[in-house]
Amino acid sequence: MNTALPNPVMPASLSLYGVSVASRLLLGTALYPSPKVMAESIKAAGASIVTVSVRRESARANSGMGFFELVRSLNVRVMPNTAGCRTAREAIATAHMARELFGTDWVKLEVIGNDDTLQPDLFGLLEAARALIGDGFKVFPYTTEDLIAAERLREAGCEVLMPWAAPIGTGRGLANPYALRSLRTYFPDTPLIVDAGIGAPSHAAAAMEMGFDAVLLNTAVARAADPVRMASAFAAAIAAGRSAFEAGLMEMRDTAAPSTPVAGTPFFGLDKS
Amino acid sequence: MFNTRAPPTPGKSDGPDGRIGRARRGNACIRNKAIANIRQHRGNPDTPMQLKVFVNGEATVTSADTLAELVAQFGFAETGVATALNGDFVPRGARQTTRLVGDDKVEIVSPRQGG
Repeated sequence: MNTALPNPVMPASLSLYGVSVASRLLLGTALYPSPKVMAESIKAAGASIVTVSVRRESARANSGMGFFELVRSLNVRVMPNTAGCRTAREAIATAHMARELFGTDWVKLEVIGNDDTLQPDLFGLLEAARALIGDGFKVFPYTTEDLIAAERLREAGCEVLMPWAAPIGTGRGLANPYALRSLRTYFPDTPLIVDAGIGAPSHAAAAMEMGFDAVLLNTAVARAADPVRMASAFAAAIAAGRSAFEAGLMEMRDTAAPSTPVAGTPFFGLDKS
Repeated sequence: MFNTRAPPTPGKSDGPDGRIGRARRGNACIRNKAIANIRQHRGNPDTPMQLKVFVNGEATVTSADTLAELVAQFGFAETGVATALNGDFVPRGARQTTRLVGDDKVEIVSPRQGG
């Protein structure tokens, strides 16, 4: 066995802001049929990072810390998001509240520009990223495939970028593979996590085969008929896609090329005489 | 950056030299009036101070003097929630010294599921 080749069972490790991350599947904690199914899905996914959020607490429910205790018991790192924020100012205040509650300076930064597409507002995103990095946050910006926005975010100090595959919750897969491939080529050394729009394990595998470092998803697992089983399906697809990337995919061609040797084909040339 | 109410820091409505702009002056005027009301009530122990503030978007009448008291009145554990006042984060340690005035918009949040 050639030990110089990457071992498909133990692929090259991923480092995010200097933290070594075991799993390339990041999972959301929302929309599961029950807290128990959420916990089992996180375990089945083998996720080492899960996304969480903050919402208005009601005096009647007073349930937020119970949820956090459950997540904490799973031994995973949490990444709070700023989901639903429409301005940089809202996102900045939300990130600060999340940092105090969850005790982490990691933040999945979302500044949403449109209700129908939940498309990132790249201008607000950059403004919020600059402010939060100044306040000591490790910012994971939820962005589009736009190369210049990505470059500005990198300049602002974002060490990781999270481009969308398709709008949040659509499950449409890689809507713009050409642009995603360009982004990957443009930033060979920046950890890139495809976030949002993944619907099937094959979508996640395709992103990993392109060389993306990880995939973040939520709805595709939480809304599956059997979320726990879907979580392990995604884990397998992401591991396979990563191994395929590390193994080096063949070049695509336009014309057919026989795989069986042509030389020595029986009856070859007999019809010429 | 954080809303601690004192001293005033230059904001969006401020002029380039840090002078207080019109919007901020307007707010300060309302606040001074509210603080005057509070002082009046404090002088009279028979009249408990009542303030109308917005908590998580809902109008609420409260006798709380500070953000910390408001959080306690709602029955929240001190470390179980995070707060913002009029759009700016207020750290846990600053709630005690953050005085409420009429029409303040308070956000009180806790951990929740997210994607």
